[in-house]
Amino acid sequence: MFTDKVELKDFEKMDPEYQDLLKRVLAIQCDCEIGGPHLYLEDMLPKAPSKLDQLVVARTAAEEVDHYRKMARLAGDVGEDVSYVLSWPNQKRYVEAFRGRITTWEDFAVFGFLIDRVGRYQLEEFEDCSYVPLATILPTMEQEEVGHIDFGTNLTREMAGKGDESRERVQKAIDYWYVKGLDMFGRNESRRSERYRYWGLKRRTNAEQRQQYTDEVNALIEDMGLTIPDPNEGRLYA
Amino acid sequence: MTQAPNTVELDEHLKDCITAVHRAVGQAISNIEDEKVVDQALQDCREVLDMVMEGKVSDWLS
Repeated sequence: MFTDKVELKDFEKMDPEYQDLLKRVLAIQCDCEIGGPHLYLEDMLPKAPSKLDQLVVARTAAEEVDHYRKMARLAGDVGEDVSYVLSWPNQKRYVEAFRGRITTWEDFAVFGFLIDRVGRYQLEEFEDCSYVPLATILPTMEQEEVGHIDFGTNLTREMAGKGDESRERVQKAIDYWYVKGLDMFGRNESRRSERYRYWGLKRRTNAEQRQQYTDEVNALIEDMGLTIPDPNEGRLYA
Repeated sequence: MTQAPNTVELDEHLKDCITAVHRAVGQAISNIEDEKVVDQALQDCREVLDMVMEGKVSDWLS
């Protein structure tokens, strides 16, 4: 296992595999950060239920753009131009969860509750990672991500508590996003994941992360009085 | 290490966009009862964010 710490000035001296993996993970992270606003901004900025909600949508999008900016800067510093993902159509995104479109307030809420939570897990992987500039930018990003998760979780809980029709709509959104969240952790048996861990760029296996996430969200879904979806129905990866 | 082209310029441009949205949201929230201020802020946010989502980087940096 590689246990050294790598600064930007050391990057070129690193093994080509390390360089490739770092560039790849930064590109994917950039795509996920900008992929969120691409999913919801067009419909939710004008259609969120109140003007205050619309302002929350705008602020959330600005924070995600800032996360993109920070990751894109790191990628650019190591020679990787990731500006192409800014204008990618949703269907082209690296991660399947970002290939659709969010058109309802329930989906926006559950996206925050479930998918931004996966985003938090992804950021946690880089805590104290071997590439120092990446570990350094995390605290503010993680704090903002927690804000998005809390907003989505509270809104989901509120909708679930409002009665039959509202509860049905939010359950439908949970059914849709739950499996997409599970798939975001990738395959259990992944050689690339093992190499990320070897080089100290990530900490946990895909299976470990998925299990921790499942434990966390299942308890919350049950506590909201909603039904935990079948974790295998509609899954792409296991 | 050779930096990718426009790394700094893109970073600066996005920083300006993000600051503009945060400023507009802050003004609106401080004046949430004033419909005119809130509507103007939302319009400003929309213009900036639409431009970012369009992603025409070469236009921004030309």
